[in-house]
Amino acid sequence: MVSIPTATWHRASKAESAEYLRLVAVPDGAKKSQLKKNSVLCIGEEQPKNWFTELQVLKGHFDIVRFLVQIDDSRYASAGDDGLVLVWNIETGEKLLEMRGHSQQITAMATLTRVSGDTPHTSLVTASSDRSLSLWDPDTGNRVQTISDLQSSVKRTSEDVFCVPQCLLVLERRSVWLSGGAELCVWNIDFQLQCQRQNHSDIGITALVELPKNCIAAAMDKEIVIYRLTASADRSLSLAEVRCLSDHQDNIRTLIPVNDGLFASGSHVGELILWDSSDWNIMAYEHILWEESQADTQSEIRLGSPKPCEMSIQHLTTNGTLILAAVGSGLYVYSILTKTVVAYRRAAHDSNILHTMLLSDSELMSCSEDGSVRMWEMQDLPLPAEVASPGFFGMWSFGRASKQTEPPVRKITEVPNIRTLELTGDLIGHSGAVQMFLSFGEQGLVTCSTDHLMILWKNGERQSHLRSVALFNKLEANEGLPLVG
Amino acid sequence: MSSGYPPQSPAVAKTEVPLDGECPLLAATFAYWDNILGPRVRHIWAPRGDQSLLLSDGEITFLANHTLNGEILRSAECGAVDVKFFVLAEKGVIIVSLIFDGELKGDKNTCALSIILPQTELGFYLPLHAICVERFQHVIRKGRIWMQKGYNIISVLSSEILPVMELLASMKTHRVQEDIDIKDTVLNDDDIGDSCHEDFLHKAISSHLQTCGCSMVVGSNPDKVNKIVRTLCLFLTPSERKCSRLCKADSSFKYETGLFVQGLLKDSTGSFVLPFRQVLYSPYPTTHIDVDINTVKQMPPCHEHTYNQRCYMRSELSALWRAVSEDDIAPDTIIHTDESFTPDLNIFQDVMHKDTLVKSFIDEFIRFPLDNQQLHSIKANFMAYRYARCGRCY
Amino acid sequence: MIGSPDVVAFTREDETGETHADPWALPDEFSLPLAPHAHSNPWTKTSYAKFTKDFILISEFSEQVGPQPLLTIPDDPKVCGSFDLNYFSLRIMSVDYQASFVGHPPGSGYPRLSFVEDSRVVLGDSKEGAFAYVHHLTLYDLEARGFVRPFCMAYVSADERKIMMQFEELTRRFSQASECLKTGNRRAFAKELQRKLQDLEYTRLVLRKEEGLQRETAPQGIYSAHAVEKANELANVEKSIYEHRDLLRQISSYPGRPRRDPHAAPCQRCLTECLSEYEELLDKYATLDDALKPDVSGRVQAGKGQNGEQRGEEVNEDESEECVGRRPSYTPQLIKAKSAKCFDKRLKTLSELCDETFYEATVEVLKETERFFSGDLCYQYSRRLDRALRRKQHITNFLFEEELPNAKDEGETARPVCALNHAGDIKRLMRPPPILLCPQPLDALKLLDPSDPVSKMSHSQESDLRPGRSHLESSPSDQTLETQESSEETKCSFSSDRSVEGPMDGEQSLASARSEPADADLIFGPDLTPDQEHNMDPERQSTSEGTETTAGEDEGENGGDETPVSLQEDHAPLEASQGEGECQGGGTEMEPEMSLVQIDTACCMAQDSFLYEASAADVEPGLGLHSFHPPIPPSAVVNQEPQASPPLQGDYAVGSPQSEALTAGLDLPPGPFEDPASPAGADDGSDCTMSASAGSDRAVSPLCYGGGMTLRQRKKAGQGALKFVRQYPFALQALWCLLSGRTLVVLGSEEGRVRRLVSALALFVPGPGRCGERVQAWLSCPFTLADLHTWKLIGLQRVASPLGSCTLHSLSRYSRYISVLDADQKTLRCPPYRGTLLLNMADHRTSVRRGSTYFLHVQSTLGSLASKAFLLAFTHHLHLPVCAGEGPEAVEARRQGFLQEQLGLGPDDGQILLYLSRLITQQYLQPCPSAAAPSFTFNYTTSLLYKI
Repeated sequence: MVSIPTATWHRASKAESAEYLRLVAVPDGAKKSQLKKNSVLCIGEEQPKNWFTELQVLKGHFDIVRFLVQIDDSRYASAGDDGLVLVWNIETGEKLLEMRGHSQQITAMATLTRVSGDTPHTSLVTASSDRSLSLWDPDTGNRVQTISDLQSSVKRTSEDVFCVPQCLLVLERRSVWLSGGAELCVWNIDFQLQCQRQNHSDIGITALVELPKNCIAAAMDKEIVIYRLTASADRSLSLAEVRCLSDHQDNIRTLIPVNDGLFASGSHVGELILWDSSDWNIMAYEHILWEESQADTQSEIRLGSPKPCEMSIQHLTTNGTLILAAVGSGLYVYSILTKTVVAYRRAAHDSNILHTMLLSDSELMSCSEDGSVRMWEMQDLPLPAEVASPGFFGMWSFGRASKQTEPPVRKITEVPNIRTLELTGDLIGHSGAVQMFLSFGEQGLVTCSTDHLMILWKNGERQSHLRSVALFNKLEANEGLPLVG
Repeated sequence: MSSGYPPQSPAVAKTEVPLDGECPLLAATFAYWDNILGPRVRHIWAPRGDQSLLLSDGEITFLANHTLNGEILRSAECGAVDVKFFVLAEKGVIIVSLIFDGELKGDKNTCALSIILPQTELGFYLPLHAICVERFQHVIRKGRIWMQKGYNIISVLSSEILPVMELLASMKTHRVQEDIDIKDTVLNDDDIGDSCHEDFLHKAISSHLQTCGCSMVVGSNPDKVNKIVRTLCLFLTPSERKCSRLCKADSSFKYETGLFVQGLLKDSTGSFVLPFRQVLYSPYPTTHIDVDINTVKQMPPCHEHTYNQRCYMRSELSALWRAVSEDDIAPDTIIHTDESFTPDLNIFQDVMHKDTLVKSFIDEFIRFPLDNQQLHSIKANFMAYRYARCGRCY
Repeated sequence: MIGSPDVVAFTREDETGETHADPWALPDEFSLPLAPHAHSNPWTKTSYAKFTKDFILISEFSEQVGPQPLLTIPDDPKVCGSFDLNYFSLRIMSVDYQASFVGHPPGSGYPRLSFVEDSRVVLGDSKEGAFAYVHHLTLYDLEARGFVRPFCMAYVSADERKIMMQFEELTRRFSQASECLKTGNRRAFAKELQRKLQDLEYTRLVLRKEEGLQRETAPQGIYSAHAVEKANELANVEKSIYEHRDLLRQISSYPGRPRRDPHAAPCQRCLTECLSEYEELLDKYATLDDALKPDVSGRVQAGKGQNGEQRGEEVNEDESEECVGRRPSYTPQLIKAKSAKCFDKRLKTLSELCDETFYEATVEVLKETERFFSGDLCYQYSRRLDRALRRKQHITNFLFEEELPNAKDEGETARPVCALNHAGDIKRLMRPPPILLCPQPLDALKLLDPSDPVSKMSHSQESDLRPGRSHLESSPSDQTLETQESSEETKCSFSSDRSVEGPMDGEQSLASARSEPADADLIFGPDLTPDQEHNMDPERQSTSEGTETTAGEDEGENGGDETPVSLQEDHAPLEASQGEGECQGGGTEMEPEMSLVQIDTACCMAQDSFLYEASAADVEPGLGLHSFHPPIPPSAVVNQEPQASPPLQGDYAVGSPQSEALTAGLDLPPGPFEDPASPAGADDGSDCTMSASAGSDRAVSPLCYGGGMTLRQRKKAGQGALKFVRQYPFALQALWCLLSGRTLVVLGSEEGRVRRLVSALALFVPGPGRCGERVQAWLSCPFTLADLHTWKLIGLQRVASPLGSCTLHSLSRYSRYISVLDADQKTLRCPPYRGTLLLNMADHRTSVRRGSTYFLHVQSTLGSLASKAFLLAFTHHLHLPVCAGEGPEAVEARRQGFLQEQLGLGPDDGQILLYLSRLITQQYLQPCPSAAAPSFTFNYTTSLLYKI
């Protein structure tokens, strides 16, 4: 079983993170107060709905932890800028394995499951800035396969950074996997290169999505390129570029599959486009705008960033019916059925949201550069959420040609059925940006952060119960307590 | 019960004592320092039985003489009864000697009453040492008066040596074990609030703690008696437990002065005769617990008890002193002739006051039975200790 | 039951009544007093004894002068006072029945060593009020009559019960000492035999040469009288050689012989070492029969120089043994000198009789024994019971009880199995570093040694200490004294020696036990420590006069000393342990100044009067306890005056008056809130009278909460806690935070104050860890989330700097996990507590006045909490469903029902129990730290700000 979303993470710029880290580590009064002022939300300490009442700080990494991948019901792997891949037990918080091999930061990680006989065996694939790809066995900690010194077949004048694979996509049904970067490579399960394709963009492939009919969508710069993977008679594979979709006005930050018929992409300027998976037509186009206030509190963070990023779609998640978009520091819930934003919170966090998750149709979770994880609930409220400072966003019906620079704006109040996102709880623990989190359902939640730590959040009640069970089991095993210690 | 056996040698008289069961005592001796001949053994008491570890008379004499070695240097107040305690690994024996002055044939002599035990019984004996010594000391006080009057001390000494032998023999078989299984106490699940009334238990434990852990449990049913005995022993230290005795199922033990907790069985008529003098001679006041009718009675507090005890002892000694002839009074009948001291015969009083400490113990204990038997026992031990400790803290 | 022996003392009556002379009245000598100890102070049963405290006496039955005392432990004439040691030695040696002489048993050709088991006797001298446990043993000496030297070691006490009630422990310890002494003696004896054999072999060589010479010069077949004499001499020498070889064989069977004494405590390793050594010797001398090898002869040559002739006295076999050595030996010219020396020959001293290492180890064991048993019986007995009881509760002990050392053994301290530390040194090394509970005397330490690790550890900044320093400097006399005191402390002074010099039986503190090795040199330093070889030199030299050998003495030494290689090695562990002891001694001396929360007029504490009284009592010198202290420096008296009243002198009045007086004014820089007119102080001074019978523990141990915290330190902690409770109305909330597992941060700019608060509050931290590792007394960098796992109580420095704002940032960021007690503003930010459970422990208006009382009160309350938590943790149905269909809600409801209805606890109090039971569960599940990081639990509640 492969968790596809994790395979499509693009790398955040390290410079940004480092900058943020510095900010968090040394918050002088001014910055702090500004952050505070900007913070619209403060839930306080009374959080009855927050059941994460126990935490465990996991140490092991020496640098920013960026990726978390679930291996099975009880294990997950973490990877980050220190090049380490660590395997953890979710129940106990124990570090099970430490896998060393990469000399530089890890840029992507995915699980690769192959079924030999009856038992599926899950391996880990990692891509690193050291221009290598590795296959790890999370049971033994061995590096099973490695391909290093990836060479671009096309000579480039600039540095070889484009040879770094930036995203991974595993096609389970076909037992192949793809790495995207400066070039798109197809590998079989035994780490043999099947075919590769040079791409023509300067940026390289930042995200990959599997589409029906052996197609693959790859996000490159402002375009989405559709490739088709075909197997010839001798079982050799070949890649062919089928279509190039260039409807985004800016860099595509995220690309996700929504359901069998749709996939979605989000761009740096807040464009959310829903695509038909089969014919690659635009099903919906949503432009989420920010208030054009130039008193941008975030600009100081993003030094040197040419564009305001507060409308950048950082992350998209979906459960098939809803799409949750992290736009700057705001959250927007988009319904696929009605093709409208059904709930939103413009300033959900104090800073950019890095990762989101839809827990159910009404509960969601987000983590941000401000170091916190917040839990939200969509509630039907008679009043719109933010009357005082309405956000702006535009809506278009689908159509490919609409590339206006000044899209018409409608007020939210005009939108029927708008719901509100209510903060139900927050998790505070990290002292740096929370890069992402991984939920194990009732077993708990792992968050990883730029502060080199991971935190395992658990339900205190449940843990207490588990400990009691263990206690009585041990009692049984020991046949009572020894009276004298 | 004693004597009637001719001495084996003309020099040393010997009394063989028939005892039920194994007696850890090898022998008791009475010796004195003859100003001409040196140490002389006067009398030997030895348990009669088929015990393998019996000493020959020669050995006994050797050891008894040894107890007086060096006593030529003795400097003690007149009337003092000093204790010497030997562990002679070379001989494998323990000797407890009480050294005192006595008048023999008009001469003042240093005398020694000794008991000899195998060294292997050291652990058994040590907890009982204080009892034995105290009882011997008092009988020696009486014996010295007897000697002063020119009577034979041996009969007086016999009146305590034989009971002590019996006591040691009974402790060999019925001593309370150091580790108590909760199943054998009334804190067992099934018993609480059922066979043992909660209020009664409360009173029993708190009075037991108030009388320094010294209690006698009387009843007709030996199991029931022993359950209470063990329950009370939970609140004692291990060495105090070793100084406690269960009741004997078939035939009742006699009351023994100085034990911490002892179980005693009523006779077939359902009555129990309280040996007033012996209860009074116990170092601590006693709680009297009758498990048949669930009554708890208590002696006066420790300081009062000690005072009464001393008064009584003095009057007993005075009576002896006044006795005209050897036949005038048998050692056990002295009390009635004494006029100067009339003890309050109603020494056992009902326990009136209630404490909260034991109550909360019982509350906590009874209300939360644990499912697991073993845990239950742990809990009981745990809590009993906890409370015993609290009781001491305050 | 427990403690009741004390009660008996109440029964004393002043007036016994009847005075009329009755002819029939019982004479006193046949009666018994109405009250025990009728004519003595009921509190001191020992008052009529002529010695001031229990001691150990080593006596010998000398063949020359009879019974004589050799040594007392402690070796202080004050201890024995006017007690007649000579008489008492006579008394205790006269009971020995062993009298087992070796000599020639009938029918045996050779003298025989008998390995006699030790005998133990308890006896007393009721007139002198002295009772003793006497341990008789025999040592071997080739020069002694029958080769036997009878010795005894006696534990002398005024309390007979004390000896009998601890008979088994006494037996164990003295047996251990005795085994050690004997093992050493057997070695030394074997060594002596070896020397003797060498002499004899040499003599034989010389004689043979002479005889051969005679034979050559004499005509064939005719033997002159001289030749016959020579032949006889030779025969004698040969017989002597056989005898001594047999003795050597006998002594080498010593380690392996069967023991009759079930209570003997031999150390297997010592025995094994001995055995191998003997075997080596045996091998050597079994073969060294006829022809002397050339290489051996050289050594024999050398050996002869010293002791050849003098030891020849045993050569005669047919002589009666009553005066050995009267017969001519193989060096005829010495006959007269020998016989003259017969009665005034110098007998070997005890340390010569034993191997040096073993002797010192024995003395060490005895010293420890003396310390172990010193103190009142009641106190000792209760303490031992207390430990036994607590051992039964090991599941919850970690919560609030002090750590029990090595629960397995009955022995109270981590005692080495063997006197030579063969098995024991590991434990000593494992002693963890000291930590708080009482504030460290940081000022003093830092002033002296800025690089002191303690000060470094605390991350504190030098600037914080300025006030203290300036204060110090302003008073030059103080400074010198302070310096003196502190330098003494830093020099690892022999603390335990100070601890034993007190007149009353010192409380058996772990601390002093631990630091014992340090004072070995102090007591037996210069005269006894020198090398054994060196010590023996004069003797050997003196007896070697007239020898015709030319060999140098040095060679002779080599020859004589080549025996046991392993003996030298044995010094190493001993030295190591000494070094260890010294270090600990040093740590020990860091007497915590226990300066507690200063009194503050702004605060609503009203009843100052008791404090005043107490402090006055504290410095009063005549309390008996102080009598042995050096005179209290005048500053202590000054302290009573309002102007100079330093807040806290009383607290260490007992512990160490010097340091009290010296540091009282220094350690607390006068704060803005300090009221100079209120003579703060502690009522602990009055405790000292109470505990006088229990003795003092002047050698203060490091402030290990678990490790070695003495009763006194705990009492002091109680004093601090009491002050906290009385001073701060929100103490209730603070205690609740600690007990319910919420980390409490004590924030303040002044290190001393923060440390004091932390040490006062540390009493309430459940499961503080063996060394209080869950308490961080002083932290000057911001803490992280992971720190909240480990520390439940943190003293945090407030600084006005970027770092400080960072600290504040972490405070506000993690505010939901912590409570903050601001020591400067006197505020507490924490969730509200609405329970009742703690009311009686944190009663702002409590009438408890004494720290120790309060400590016991707290201890008892916490103990019953622990017992309830135990119930909660181990009651099955409170955690798991009882039937299949039951959901977690039903279990939860049952648990709440248990807490609320059955234990009568509200939700806030229930939280305490839940936390405690969680700790118990965790402790039970993983007694040792596992690979996984610790987790901590919290809940989301709003905090309030409390002010005074």
